[in-house]
Amino acid sequence: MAELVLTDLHKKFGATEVIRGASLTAESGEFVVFVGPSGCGKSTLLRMIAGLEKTSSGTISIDGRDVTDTDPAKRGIAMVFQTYALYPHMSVAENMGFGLEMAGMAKAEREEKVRQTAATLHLTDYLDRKPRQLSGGQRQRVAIGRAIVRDPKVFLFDEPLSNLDAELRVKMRLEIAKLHKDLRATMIYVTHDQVEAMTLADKIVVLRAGLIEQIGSPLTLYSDPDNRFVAGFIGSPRMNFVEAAVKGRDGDALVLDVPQLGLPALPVRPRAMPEALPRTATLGIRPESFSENADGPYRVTLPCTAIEHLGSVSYLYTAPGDDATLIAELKRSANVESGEQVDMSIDPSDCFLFDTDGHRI
Amino acid sequence: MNRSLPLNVALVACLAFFIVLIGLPFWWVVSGSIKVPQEIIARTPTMFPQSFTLQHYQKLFEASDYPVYLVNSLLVAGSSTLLTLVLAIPAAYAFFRLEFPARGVLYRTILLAYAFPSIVVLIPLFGLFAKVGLIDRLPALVAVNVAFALPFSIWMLRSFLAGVPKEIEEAAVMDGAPTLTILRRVMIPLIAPGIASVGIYAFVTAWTEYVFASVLILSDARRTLPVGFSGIIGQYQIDWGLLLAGATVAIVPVIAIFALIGRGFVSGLTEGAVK
Repeated sequence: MAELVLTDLHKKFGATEVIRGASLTAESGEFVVFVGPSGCGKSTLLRMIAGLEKTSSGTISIDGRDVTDTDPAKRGIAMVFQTYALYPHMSVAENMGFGLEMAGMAKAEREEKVRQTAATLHLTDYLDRKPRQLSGGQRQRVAIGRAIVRDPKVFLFDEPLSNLDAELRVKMRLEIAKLHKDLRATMIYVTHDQVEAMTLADKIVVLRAGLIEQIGSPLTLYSDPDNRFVAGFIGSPRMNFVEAAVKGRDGDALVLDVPQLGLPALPVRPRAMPEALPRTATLGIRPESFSENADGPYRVTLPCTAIEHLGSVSYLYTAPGDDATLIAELKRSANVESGEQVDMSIDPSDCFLFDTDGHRI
Repeated sequence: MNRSLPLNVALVACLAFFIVLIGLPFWWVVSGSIKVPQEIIARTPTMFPQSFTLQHYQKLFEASDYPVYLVNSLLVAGSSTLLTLVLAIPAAYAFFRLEFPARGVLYRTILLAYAFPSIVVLIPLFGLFAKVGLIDRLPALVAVNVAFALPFSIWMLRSFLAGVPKEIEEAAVMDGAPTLTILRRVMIPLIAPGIASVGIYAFVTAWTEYVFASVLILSDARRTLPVGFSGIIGQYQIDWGLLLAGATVAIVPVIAIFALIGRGFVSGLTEGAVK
C-alpha cells in the first residue's frame, strides 16, 4: 500500500512532447485507471511511472520518496504487460521467482513464496509448465502472479486484457477487481476500453494528446463531465452532440433553439451561468436519456434509419456511419423498424451544454 | 496448401536436381573411399562399390601426417568458433541495446572487413604477425578466422536479438536484472538458434580456410587439414584411395557439429512469451 504522486510530468521524444504536464495523486490502495484514445500518452505515462521511460521534467514519488530517477526495480512497483512478456524458456515457477532471485531471496524462501502465490491464482498445477503450454488466460495469470509475488507497493497494468477474447476478458476483469480487494494495493491500470475503466476504477484519469482532461470517479465522469471530450469518451454508445442557438435566459436556465431536434425553446440549466450569454452552444444528450414516453413537454421525433437490437435494449441511428448521427436507446420498442419515425421525449435536466471550445457551460 | 500438379512436378524436379548436384560428389567420395584401388581407377566407374576395403583409412591414419593435421584443424576451428561466440554475443548485445556515440557508424563500419579479398590483407598481416612472433603458430590462424567471422556474426546476432519482443527484456528490467544477467539468463536462451547458426558458420569457415593457413604456417607439423591434405595429393602421382578417405574423414566433424548444434535450431522458441 502506497501513495503515488505525479507532479507536473513532462515527456519529450525529440521535439514532440507526448506528456504535457501531468499531475495526479493515487491514494494508498486506490485503483486508478488511465483511459484515452490511442496515442493519448496513457501508456507512456504508465511507463514513466514504471521507470521504463525517462522523465523529461517533473517528479514521481511513491510513499513520499522521490523515485523519478530511481531504477525500475528499486521503485517498489511491478508491471503486467499487455503481451504478458513471460520468459518463454522458463517454467511458470521460474517466471514468477525470477524477480525474487534477482532481489537476492534464498531459494527455499523463494519457492515457498511462489507456491503461495500460485495457489491464490489457481496455478499450482502449472508450475512446471512452460508459457507455451498455457492458455491465454493462464498466461495472463502467470504475468499477474509474477507481479504479486514481489509484494510491490504499486501495481501497473498496461492494457492487460486486450489480448483475450471477450468472455475471458470479463472473467479476468472480475478477477482483477477481486485481487484489488484482497491485496488492497495501489493499482494503476491503462486501458482504452471504457467498460473496464468504469467497472474497475475508483478514479478514472481521462487523457487526450498528453494532457489530463479530467480526473474523477466513474460516476462523476459520466454524470458531470468537464468538457465535450470526456462527455463523448465516457459512456457507450457515445453522447449525442447537436448544435443549438442560445435565445436567452430563463431564470437559471439557458433557452436554446435546437433545430436538429425540432425543439424551439429548450431550457437547459448550465453548470454555472456564464456572465455573457454565448450565441451558440453544443447540446449533449446521452442515448439513454431519450424516453419512449412521448408525453413529455419536449417531444422529439427521430427518423429511424438503422436499428440494432441487443435484446435488452435497441439502438436507433438517424444517420448511421455519419458523425452527425443521433443515437437513441430504446428500452421497450424493440419492434421499431428502420424507416419509421419514432416519437420520444427528452428531459432538459439530462442535457449538457458545451461552448464552442468544448468546455462545459 | 493447394498447388497445381505441374507446379508440384516442377518443384520436385528442381529439388531433385539440387540434391543430385550436392549429393552425388558426396556419395562418390564416401563410396570411393572403401573401394580397392583397381576399382577406383577402373575404366567403367561403379556407382555402388563392388569391393570393400579399409586399407585407405589404415594408410591415412598410420602412414600419413593426416592425424596431426586433423588435430590442428580441430584446435583451430574449435577455438575460432568459441572465441567468435564469446566476442560476438556481447558485442551484438552492445550494438543492440547500449547507447554510445557513433554506434550506427561503427556498426556499419565493421562490415567493411568484407570489402577486401583476403589475399589483399595477406601480405600486411604476414608482416604484422612476423613482428609479434605469430608466424607458424596456430593462434595466428585463430586470430585471422575470428577477425573475419566476427563482423558477420555480430551483424547476424544483432538481428536475432532484435527479434526478441521488447517487453520480455523490459520485464527482466522490472524484475531487477542487471544488463549482463538479462543477456545471460534471458536473451541468450532466446537467441539460441542464432547462436547455433553463427557457431556453425564460424566453424565451417575456419575448418575450410586455406589461404591464410597455407601462408602463415610454415612447418609441416602445424598445418591444418586443407593445406596439409593438399600435400598428400603428391607431386607426381595421386593416391586416389587415400585422397577419398581423407576427404571423407574431413566431412565428419562438420556433420557432427551440425548434429550437435543443429538441435539449437528449434523454431518457436519465443512461443508463449507474448500473446
